[in-house]
Amino acid sequence: MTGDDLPGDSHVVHYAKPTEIAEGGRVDGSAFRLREGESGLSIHWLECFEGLSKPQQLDEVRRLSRLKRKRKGRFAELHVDRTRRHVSDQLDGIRFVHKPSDADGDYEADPSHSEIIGLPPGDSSLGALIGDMIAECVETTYLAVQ
Amino acid sequence: MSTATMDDFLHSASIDVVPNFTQNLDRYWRIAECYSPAISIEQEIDADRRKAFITHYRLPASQHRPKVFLGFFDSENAEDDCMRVTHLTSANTLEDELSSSDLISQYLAEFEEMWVETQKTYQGYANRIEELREFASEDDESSGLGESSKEDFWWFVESMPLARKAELVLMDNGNLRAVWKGDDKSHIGLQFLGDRLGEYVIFKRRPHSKQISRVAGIDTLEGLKKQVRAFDIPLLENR
Repeated sequence: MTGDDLPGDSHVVHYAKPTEIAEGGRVDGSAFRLREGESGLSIHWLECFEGLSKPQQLDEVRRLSRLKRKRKGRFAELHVDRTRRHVSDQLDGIRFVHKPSDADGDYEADPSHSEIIGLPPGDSSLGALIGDMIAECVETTYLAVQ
Repeated sequence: MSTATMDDFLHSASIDVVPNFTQNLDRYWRIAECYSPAISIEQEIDADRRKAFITHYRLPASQHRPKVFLGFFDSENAEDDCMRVTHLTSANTLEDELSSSDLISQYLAEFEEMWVETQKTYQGYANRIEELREFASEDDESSGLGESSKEDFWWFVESMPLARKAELVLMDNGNLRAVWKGDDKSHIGLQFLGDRLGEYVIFKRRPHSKQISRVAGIDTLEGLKKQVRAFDIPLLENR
């Protein structure tokens, strides 16, 4: 349901643009900073697609995502609880909340869409620090376009 | 520091060649200037139709003992692909001269090695910046590469030629961000804001502890170097 916290043992992916990925494939903390006007960081909840394997879940995310994805962009996977715990060292109140997108024009509804809320402004020093801490929690990355 | 004082330290016996020296002369000078009062020396020597270079760095075999090199080479043809060093001396300080030519040759060899490595690193940065520029040109949300940020990045890395190579990313606001990562999860992230300002993020694992100190803020690039030294993180000091 919209606004509910995602289960702690679930996984999400966040799209990182080619400019936010370092030479060695590491997703930089700048990918996890809010942009001007954003109140939450867009993510996709993988376990939302029940009964599917991880590759199938990712295919669904690719199919339904409304982002302009590039061939060299990557989806960075985070574990909800581990990320929350890691960041809580510096920031209270970070939440992973479900925010499914309704169908809109040519876009199908995206039940996996969610957000990380409670992040500091992206252009602040705290935003930089939290971004780098979240980047430390990236467990793996996947091609954003196949 | 007068030219006469410098001449007192010169030896004429040691002759060596620094390959491709003039190819990157401007950049070399910028490095040298960061380490020494070389500009005043250069100006005085120029009047004598020669140029001087002077630098010091920490040798692997003798850490914590900064060395000073002073070299003179003919500069009538600045387009030469390589310059012959006609005089070279080395000293712990300018007042404390070393006279062993073997030692000087060893130092020069190490210096050349460092110089070649530094050039490779700079070329890697240049290639990466072009790649990021290309990525940004295909991204509607990107402001493109900011020239002032790029200039500050080059100023910063050229002021520390022995620093390890950083990873580079480009932020949507057009600023370059460099990240140095250590094996112990130490981490320095630096966004080049322009006007010689940087936004830093420093993670430092305390020795014999699982605890990590974390700080972030904005400082001048010179001030940032001091902060990094205070945290005792070697990422910007040694390759």
